[in-house]
Amino acid sequence: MSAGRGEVAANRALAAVIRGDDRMASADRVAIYAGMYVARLHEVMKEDYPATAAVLGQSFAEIVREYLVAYPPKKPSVFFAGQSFPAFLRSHPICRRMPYLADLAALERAMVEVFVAPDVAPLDEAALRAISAADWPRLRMRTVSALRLFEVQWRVAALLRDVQSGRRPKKPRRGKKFLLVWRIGGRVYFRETDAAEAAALKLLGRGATFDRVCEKLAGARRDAGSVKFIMATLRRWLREGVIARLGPSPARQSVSA
Amino acid sequence: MDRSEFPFLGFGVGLRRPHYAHVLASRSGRSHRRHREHIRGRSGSGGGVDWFEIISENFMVEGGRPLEVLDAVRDRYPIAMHGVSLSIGSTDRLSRDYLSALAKLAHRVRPAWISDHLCWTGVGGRNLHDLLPLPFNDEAVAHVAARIRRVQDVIERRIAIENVSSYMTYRCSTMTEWQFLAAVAAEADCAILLDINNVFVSAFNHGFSAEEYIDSIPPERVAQFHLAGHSDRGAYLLDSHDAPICEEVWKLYRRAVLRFGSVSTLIEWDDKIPKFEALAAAANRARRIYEEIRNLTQGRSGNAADAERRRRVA
Ligand SMILES: [Fe+2]
Repeated sequence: MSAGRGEVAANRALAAVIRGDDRMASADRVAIYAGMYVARLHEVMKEDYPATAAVLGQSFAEIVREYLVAYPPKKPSVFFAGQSFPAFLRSHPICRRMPYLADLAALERAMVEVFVAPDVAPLDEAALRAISAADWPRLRMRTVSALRLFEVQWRVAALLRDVQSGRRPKKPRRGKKFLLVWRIGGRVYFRETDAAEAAALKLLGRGATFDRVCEKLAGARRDAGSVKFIMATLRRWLREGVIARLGPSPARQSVSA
Repeated sequence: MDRSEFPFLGFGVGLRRPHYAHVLASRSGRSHRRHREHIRGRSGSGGGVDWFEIISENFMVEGGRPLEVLDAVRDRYPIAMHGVSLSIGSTDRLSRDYLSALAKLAHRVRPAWISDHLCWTGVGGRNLHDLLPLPFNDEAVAHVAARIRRVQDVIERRIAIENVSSYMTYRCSTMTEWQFLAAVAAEADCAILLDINNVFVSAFNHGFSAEEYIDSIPPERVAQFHLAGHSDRGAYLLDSHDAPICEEVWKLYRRAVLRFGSVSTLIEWDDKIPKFEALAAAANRARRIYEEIRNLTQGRSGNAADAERRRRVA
């Protein structure tokens, strides 16, 4: 087969550059580096994608190897090595059998990213109360920088919680949802949300005024219940620490759809 | 080169995630002033360590726990920044983004010094996240030294470069590794971070004398030592940083202290990381060796490097 001949040629090319001796041929010496490259990045990927690795089991190593061929690391920090794994999985044949895998990986990647995202102090209720009622409609807020919001087709949040608490992961249900991932101090949190809240948070992330965010939250509802809903949502955001006051400089876009 | 740019910090360990909580909680955290007294007075060492080394790239992030920990550790201890991705030997252009990230981190940390490896870590825009060896010849000396000079110009300070463990050598090499290391350091006018374990590992893998290596390095260039563990893979030794420092490496360290004198020493452990106490114990073993040799050589001319420094101070 030509692969065999190709290998012979490659070994000859290596031998012309790398010294071999009676202890180890030049190809064996280069193979040490090749093996370490894969092993090291496999470790990094396992650390960044523990649940994806758990779900994939034995096949994780081979898929990581394929990923490294498709997306070789280009940045100085290993932090970025696994950056494109969710996108890679989305078009991988494994997704025919496990269609939720890319969503799960996206959730895990978001957790890795918010862990080291910029620190922005979240708004608390006291700070909000200090703002006069007249200023409310024009008030501009933003989401904290350590936050990601994205759409998924599978209920992978439950799957991740299973893996995190050592339960046997069950195949997630299909269902269009949004996932919210954020960090307070050194801890990363995640939860599902619906289209209305996601849309409001996205607007907020772009620095929209408070009245427009409220409009989005109320959606089609124009009854007394919508005010209650808006207040409850706002209180939840404050409690969870996902919103911040828009500073004097324009906020960086921190919400990715 | 004047070694005063690389002060003697004593005996430290690499700052690694499993030890964050321990390091921050430990009462051995001392103020800088007390720290200096400790080094100078050398009054009976506690269980603590004197300083920490960080992997620079792990802290080139925008926020979160790593930077929080870094700031807290920096409040209590001197820190040196040790990079793994400068890729000083590559033929790719030096990355401006990388150098500005390095400068930004240095501005935050105010490190005692900055170091990286005498190697290449990628080419063609790819990063192998490994420390690959260079050919040892005049062309490589000129290439690497020019790049080190450029880095030193950009970050406006002298850096230290470390000898790496290696598993292969090139047919186009025309000199020994120690000749290459010394030539690069001289031509770049930079310092040397001498990793004693890497000398031992490469000596075994390539069949040269570790003692001859140590004895050939110019003392005035050596700014720091690394000590680490490796693993025996039969045909070769692997620089795995996952085991205790072996006795042969301790023996080489003794030889190095005799030759190079008061050089800041750091214990590296990156895999199967044990409890912090095990690393502190290794740092203190290095300290005892250093003190023993210092007591032996006190009153006499001592080692060449310290004698040279005394001459400069006088
Ligand atoms: Fe080292």
